[in-house]
Amino acid sequence: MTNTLERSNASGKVLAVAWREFKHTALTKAFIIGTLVFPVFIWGLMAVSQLFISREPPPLTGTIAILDPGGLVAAEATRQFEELKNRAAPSVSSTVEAVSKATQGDAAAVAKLAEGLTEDTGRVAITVIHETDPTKADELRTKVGSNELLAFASIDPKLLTIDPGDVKLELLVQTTTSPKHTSLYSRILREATVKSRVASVGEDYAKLMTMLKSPEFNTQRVTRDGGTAKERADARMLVPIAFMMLVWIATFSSGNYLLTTTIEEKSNKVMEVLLSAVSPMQLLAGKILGQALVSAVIIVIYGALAFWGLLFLSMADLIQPILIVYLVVFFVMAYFMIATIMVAVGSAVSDLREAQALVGPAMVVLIIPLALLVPIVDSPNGMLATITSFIPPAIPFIMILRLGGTEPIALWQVLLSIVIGFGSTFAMLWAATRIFRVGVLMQGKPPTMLELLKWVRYQ
Amino acid sequence: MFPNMIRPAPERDAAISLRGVEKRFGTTRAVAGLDLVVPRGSLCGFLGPNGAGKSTTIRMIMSIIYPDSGTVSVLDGTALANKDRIGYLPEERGLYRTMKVSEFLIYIGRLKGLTAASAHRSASEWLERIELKGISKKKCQELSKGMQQKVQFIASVIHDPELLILDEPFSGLDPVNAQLLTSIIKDLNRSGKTIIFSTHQMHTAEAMCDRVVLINHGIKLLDANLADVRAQFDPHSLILEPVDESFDIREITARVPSITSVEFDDENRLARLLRVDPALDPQSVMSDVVRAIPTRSIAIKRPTLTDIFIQLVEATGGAAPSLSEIGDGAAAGSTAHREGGSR
Repeated sequence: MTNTLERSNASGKVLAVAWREFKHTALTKAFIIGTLVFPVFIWGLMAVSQLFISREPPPLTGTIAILDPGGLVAAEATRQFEELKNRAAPSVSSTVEAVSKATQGDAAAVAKLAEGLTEDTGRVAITVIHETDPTKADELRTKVGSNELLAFASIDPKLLTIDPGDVKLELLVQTTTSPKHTSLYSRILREATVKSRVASVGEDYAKLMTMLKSPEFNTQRVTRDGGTAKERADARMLVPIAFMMLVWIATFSSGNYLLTTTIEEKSNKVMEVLLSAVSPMQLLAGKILGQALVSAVIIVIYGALAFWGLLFLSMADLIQPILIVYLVVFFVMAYFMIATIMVAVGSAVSDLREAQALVGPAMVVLIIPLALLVPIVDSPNGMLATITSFIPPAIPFIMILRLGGTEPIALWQVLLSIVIGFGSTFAMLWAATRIFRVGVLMQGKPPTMLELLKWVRYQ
Repeated sequence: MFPNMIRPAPERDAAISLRGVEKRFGTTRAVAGLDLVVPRGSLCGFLGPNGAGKSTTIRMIMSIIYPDSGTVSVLDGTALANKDRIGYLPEERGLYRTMKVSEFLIYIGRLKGLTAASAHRSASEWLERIELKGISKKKCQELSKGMQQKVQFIASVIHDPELLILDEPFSGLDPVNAQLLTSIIKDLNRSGKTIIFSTHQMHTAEAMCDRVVLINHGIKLLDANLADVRAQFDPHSLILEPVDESFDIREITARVPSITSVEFDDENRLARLLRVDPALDPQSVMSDVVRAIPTRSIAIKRPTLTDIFIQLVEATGGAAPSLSEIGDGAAAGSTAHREGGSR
């Protein structure tokens, strides 16, 4: 019946396992949606949401009372509101416009207009109070509490002197006032107070501000070929973080796939069928190779998207070619470290819940790069960064964080981390293969860490 | 006194050879000093009740687990080295649930060393032969349990192995599919394949095998050709069905002195099992019986493996397995209980 079957060579088995692993992970709807569509969807959602999210505070309706015996700050505040009229909500604009027209910018006129009564100039009214009677302030405070007033500001005359000391500008707002409105009130009143103070000593505020204006820098980075490029310090800080996250996402995604497919093969009882056809080593090699391809696909896709973004922003010069080399080296190291942990744990347990208990100790070390991300990026040659660069399995993540930064890292540290990293990777791979060959046929109670160590020693 | 039925096949033409194989799991001795030779081209039944050590032995043969001591040789090497020449149907069967049937079979074929094209062709041929044509595009999880089992059987033979090791191949199959599988296994054996299959159902092995190995608690109790076993374990009994069902059959011991005892026979409630003096030829006693009582039918009883197994276990001092351990089919067809007195 099948006596003329053609045979392939032994390496074909490893490749067959690898291809099945890749195909049933990467060429699935879940992967395509999770890896490609979902990030694009999130990116699109963020972009679209920016179009609809207004940075301006929502419209105000009500009355703002300003207790200002001199009336200068209140007038200045009114002018500040007027400056907002093109950007502020229509109700505020119309109010400011009405007040300005009525007073023609004259503080005294404003005070006169509003004195003793609430002048409704639209949806928002500004009431200026000149009385210094404490009971009046208490009355206004009560009105804010009962939401009759939007806010109440009290301007101490000392604030308009050259040396106001510790005197503060009192601002009372409703408990339901949005932070944006509070910020708006504070900004306008602060600026109005300063302008009034400057005016009270006969100086020109606009001239003074012009004099105080700090010069802008035009910082350029000079490249090796003598050219220049715009310096973007913030973007440079993000590069190492982006590289580390790239390696993290790519390796942990495929590591998790490796864990779940191994558990699935055990729970489906298909493992013994596989082991009748291939050795545990061939199966392990095929699985790790297949998921390495998955991981490579992830890192290439996300890396290409990120690089495209940099090109779009004319910031591609931030990525030095040597950084790509380091990325490849430490990605390979990181993948094999994570893969060996995941495949060993997957072979030893029967479900994901049991796996979590065994993966936990490794995660404590692997979380170091995330927990120490800021201090390491801030000080890539600091003691913390240097020491953690030699602790597996955190090595590749820490090193890519350090190497992606601006400070040069000593070559001996790079080489030592590569030697320690790949040395420990081979040790982990050796231990994983020994655990795998025992674990894949084990059923029932999951092993403890001590039992896993015993499996490593089994002949 | 029982004859010694440990008659291993000659080593020189062995497909499988085990020497002094021991395996322990903690304090439990699963296999104890097992010697076993399966000749090339044989169809060997590996028998024993549940927990006898059959699957453990098979896993050691397959190099899935390793013996604590002793040696295992498969096709003049190890199973690891000869994986592509061996087909294996494990006791715990599994499939990739979301894989399509043809995809799964081609994958296993590739792992068994076939090229993709050969695996595809072989899978198609086997699906047709095992009456599963038309399901190749279905996902494994969409199949019935019986269909899944047949797919798993194909996975064990897709690469045309010269040695086929089947661990409980008939469990879970309905009679029609069991018959189909029996027929295929016999065909494969006739085409020169060496086949060893484990079962706890003695009657199945009895109907198929030319050689049987019987173990209990990891110890081999029997290892011989089935014909030799039957000859050696002749029960010296007759099965009699009288014309008059109300006839008190116990009277026959008085009328025919060579009948030592009478029992009901469970295969036929109307029949009686007549134990014959072992010193006499049962054929000569038959005519005495026919003369003594009106007889509807009378025959010399063939020994069943179940009988033999129970006798062996009892004789070696172990507790005999329960009927359910041996297998319901076997139990229904082969056991007898005592009714009459003995002389």
